[in-house]
Amino acid sequence: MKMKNRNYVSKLILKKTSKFLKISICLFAFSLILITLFLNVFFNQYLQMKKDFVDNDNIHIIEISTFQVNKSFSRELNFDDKNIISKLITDYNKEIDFTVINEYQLNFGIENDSGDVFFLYGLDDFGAKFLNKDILKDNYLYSSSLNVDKTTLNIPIIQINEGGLSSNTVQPVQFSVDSDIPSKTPLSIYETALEQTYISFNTYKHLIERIYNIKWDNFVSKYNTDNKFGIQAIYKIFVYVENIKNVNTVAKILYENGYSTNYTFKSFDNFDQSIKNTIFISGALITLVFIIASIYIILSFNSYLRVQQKDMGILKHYGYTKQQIRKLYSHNINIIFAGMSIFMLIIIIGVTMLLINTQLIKYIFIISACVYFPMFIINRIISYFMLNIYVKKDIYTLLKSSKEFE
Amino acid sequence: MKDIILKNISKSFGMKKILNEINFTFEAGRFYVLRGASGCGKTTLLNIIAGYYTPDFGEIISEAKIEYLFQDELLFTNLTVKENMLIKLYSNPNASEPDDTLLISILEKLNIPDLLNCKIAFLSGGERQRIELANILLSNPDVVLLDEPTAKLDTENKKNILDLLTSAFSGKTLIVSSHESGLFPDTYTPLLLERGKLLYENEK
Repeated sequence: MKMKNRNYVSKLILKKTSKFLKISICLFAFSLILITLFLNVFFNQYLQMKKDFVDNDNIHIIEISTFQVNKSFSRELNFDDKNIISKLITDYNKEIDFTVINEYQLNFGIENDSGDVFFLYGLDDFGAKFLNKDILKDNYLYSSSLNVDKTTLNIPIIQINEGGLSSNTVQPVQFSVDSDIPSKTPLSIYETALEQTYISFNTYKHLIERIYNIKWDNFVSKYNTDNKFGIQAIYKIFVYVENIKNVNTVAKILYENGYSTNYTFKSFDNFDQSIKNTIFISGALITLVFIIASIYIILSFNSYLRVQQKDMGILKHYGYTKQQIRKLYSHNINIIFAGMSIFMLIIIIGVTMLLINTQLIKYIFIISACVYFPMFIINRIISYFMLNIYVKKDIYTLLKSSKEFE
Repeated sequence: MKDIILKNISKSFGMKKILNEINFTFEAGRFYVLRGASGCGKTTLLNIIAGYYTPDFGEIISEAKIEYLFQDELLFTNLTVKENMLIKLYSNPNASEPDDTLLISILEKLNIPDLLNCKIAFLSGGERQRIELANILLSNPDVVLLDEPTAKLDTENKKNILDLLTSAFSGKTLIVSSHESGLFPDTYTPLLLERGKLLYENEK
């Protein structure tokens, strides 16, 4: 049969598409729109959750400020605590991926030439991540509020006497300034104090050596045994836990071993379970809507084909072969699905652009795949299996069945 | 060979034997009227000749192109006469779009030249029957089977349709089933189907 003739006859047959089928197709399209909305809301929630929790460094961080020796006494953190904390976590579970970072401090402010006072905090190398840097350079000050390229700090030279500490001289040291850091970092979420100026661990080390005229190793050993330097060198220790599922566990281990902890995740005790429940419920809802919509559309097409039995009988009577009739009807079914696909693509693009604003193409593709794959399966079920059942019938059965149906 | 030769044709439905070892030759170019009481097997015999039923025993020998007019109307009522005729025409894989004049010339043979663009749903029963005959003429068959074509018509229309059949299908083999007697002119060879056997009526 010529393609042109087939298209013409298909078009004539399609004219007779029942109102019932048209309503069913509209309802099916409505179900698909609902599914598209569900998927969009689901991905939107997922992206929000990823942004708020998985990709949010604040959630991964546990801040430790003191060590509770007993109920009535707590001590400052010292240089041994970093190793102790690492060992506690590793002993509990070697699989937990974490990093321990010291935050060092000088307890006193240091003036620059203009009379501005800086409170310096040293960070271990891993701390660069929280200032959005790859590394912290030596002799650099990292402060979001400084608008100069360089500044000279007057470093006090401190002498330790029997009566205490004294300082008569200062040494000017020039620092480069990097102000391209966030004003609020995961290291300062619990800080209400003055703005912190960060320096690298090496810079901190050199400053200590210069201020106290002491080798770093000596400083560390003396600080841990008998701190006569008048400072609390280890201001805080941060534990960065890679997988947010382990944050609660790590915090619990530290707390049980005397470390006082602060962490954002405290308020989301069953977060992992919540995520799993959300995924399960969303998945189940989407699947349920799809199954109901699919059954409905398959039954609707079945009713349509039953109504069409008389027409199929007439076509057979006119001399059309089974194959020709199957092609005529599958052509029409494909046209209906193609129209629905175009309509759905517009809806998917529109809704996705409205609800998801990152990786748009990726999510349009995923959602389209989620909608089109089942549509394709339904199309095949209707245009192959169901249609064949009717086309195979002989003329008399087709005409008789249509009368019964009418 | 345009004759239709029935050899030992038998057909039963359940325990009831409808056709019993029928041997008959329908000669090309002749008109036959097949009579018999209701339920005697006239439609069954036409269905077997048309190939819609398979006989339980026996065979049909023929190379003729056969068209069949059912007792029930088989038209797409939501479409126009032209659209129905085109659907019929395009059942032939090699058919190309015809000129309207060809379609009208066929309708003229049936005295309904003005109905080409009318919707079937708006036509009378008699007009619809003529459209079905027009569809048959479109495929230019050698043999035309008509199952009770006069059953639903009034006396005047019965006469008209028989006149039309005579003129439109001249030169073709026409086998018409009917339970009515005295209606058909002498040009029709009367046959009688009785107790499963097919006889010339005047032989009875």
